Amino acid sequence: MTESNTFRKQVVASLVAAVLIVAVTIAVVTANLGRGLDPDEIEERQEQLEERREERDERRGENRG
Amino acid sequence: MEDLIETLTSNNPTAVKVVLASVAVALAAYQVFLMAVGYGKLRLPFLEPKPASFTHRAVGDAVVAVTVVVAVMCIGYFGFEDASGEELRATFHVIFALLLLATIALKVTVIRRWHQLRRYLPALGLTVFVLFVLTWITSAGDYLVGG
Repeated sequence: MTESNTFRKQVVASLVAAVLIVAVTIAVVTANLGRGLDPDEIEERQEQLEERREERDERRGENRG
Repeated sequence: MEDLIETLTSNNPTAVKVVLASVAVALAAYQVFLMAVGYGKLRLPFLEPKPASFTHRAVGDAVVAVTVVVAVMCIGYFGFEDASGEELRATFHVIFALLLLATIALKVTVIRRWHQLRRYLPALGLTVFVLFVLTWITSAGDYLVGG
C-alpha cells in the first residue's frame, strides 16, 4: 500500500470518527434534555419563553406606536 | 433576528443551542486528541501524526462554524442582559464565551498569518478547549442538569 493511500484512509477514518462523535452527542444530549427537571420546572421554562415572546411583542408595539 | 432564530429552531432555540454547544465541546475534545497524535505525544498504530493534523484542520473549521452559529443564536436571541435570575452564572458564561471567541480568533490568526507565534499554538489550543468546557458548563451543562 502506498504512503498516500495510507494517509487518505487514515484521514477518512478520523473524519468518520468525528461524524460518529457528532451523532452520539446529538443523541445523548437530545435524550437528556429536560430529564433532570420536574414538571414544575419544565412549566416554569415554558412560561419564561412565553413571557419573553410577550415582552418582545410589547416592545414591537411600542416601537410602531 | 429573534423571529428568524425561533423559525429556524421550530420555537426551541434553547434546546437547539444546547445540542449545538454540546457538539462543539465534544468535537473540541476530539481536537485535543487529534493534536496529541499530531504532535507525537500520543502514538497510535492506526493513526499517524500527518493525517491527524490534517483532520484537526478540517474538524477545526467545522467547530468554528458551529461556534459562530451558537454565538449568533445566543447574542441574537438571549442578548447580554438576559440572566433570567441567574446573574452570576450568566455573567461567567458571557465572560468565558467572549474569551473563547477572542482566543479562537487569535489562534486562527496565528495559523494563517502570524507564523512567528506558532510555538504558542499548543497552549492556545488547550486554552480554547478549557474555555469551550467552561462556556458549556455555565450554560448548556447547567441547563441539562436542570440548574
